[in-house]
Amino acid sequence: SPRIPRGRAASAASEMHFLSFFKTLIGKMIIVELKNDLALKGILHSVDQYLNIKLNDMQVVEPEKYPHLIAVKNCFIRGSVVRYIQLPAKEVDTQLLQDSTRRAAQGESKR
Amino acid sequence: QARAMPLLKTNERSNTGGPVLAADEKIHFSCAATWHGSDKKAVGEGKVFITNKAVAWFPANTQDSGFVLDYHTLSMHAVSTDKDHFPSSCVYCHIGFDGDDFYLVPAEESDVKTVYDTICTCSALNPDPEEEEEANNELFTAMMGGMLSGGSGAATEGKQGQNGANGIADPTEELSEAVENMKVEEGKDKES
Repeated sequence: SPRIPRGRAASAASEMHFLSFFKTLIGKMIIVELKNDLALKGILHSVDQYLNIKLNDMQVVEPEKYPHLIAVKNCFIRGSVVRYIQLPAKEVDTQLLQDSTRRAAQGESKR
Repeated sequence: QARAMPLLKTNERSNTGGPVLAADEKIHFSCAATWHGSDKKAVGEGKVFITNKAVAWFPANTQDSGFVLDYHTLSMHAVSTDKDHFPSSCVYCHIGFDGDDFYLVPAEESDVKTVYDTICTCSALNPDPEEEEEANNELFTAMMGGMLSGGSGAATEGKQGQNGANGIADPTEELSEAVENMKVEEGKDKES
């Protein structure tokens, strides 16, 4: 399994790595689960260097729990409050991702 | 100082009726707006002030307190078009701590998008401190590694057949190129 990068350089490399990855998901449907359990499904519109996420056509995953979010279409989610991002399996080349993640991890641990 | 704080109720106002600004703080946008709580009921008319540090709202009635919320706690915000409960479209704001939320209903509906966009821009000016980012990245990488190497049958629609039976061989030239392409794309495309 990939070694885990440490330190600031590794952190910056990881951020760019995942930013590149998330950009490949623009236009695809994802589910973003926040640290306070709120889960939002929508089309990824954009993502920035802090992994702040904009979703279009957003739907809340548990509308019975969050009825007031039914009328919301487009939203902005702070990257720092995201717990998980569920990806559509068929939109992700997991072989490529695993390999590039390993390369990113190994590359940074050599610094 | 950048720890997240809950919604601050305050009646400290500047001479111009807005929030008291820090030295490096300025107002990016301001307009007349009503504040509604979680229950969607209007707290009152007033003005919203969006600075590079916080979203503030003060009621027209100077006797009453307003609110100041820094971006570290503003987990999510969105444009809401719930015409059953609101006179027009508005900006919904979700607070991180306890899932509290509130609505900013600009007096001019044409200001709704500006309020939304300005909060997006200013939130991005306030990334969380690096110690937390590092920890998150380490955790993220560990999770990704764990999920991807542990999972079976998930990676079937991508580049099959290029790496042999177990799919995990030394990086092929094509994979290396794909990774390099990802980096090039990242370099070219600065904005999200």
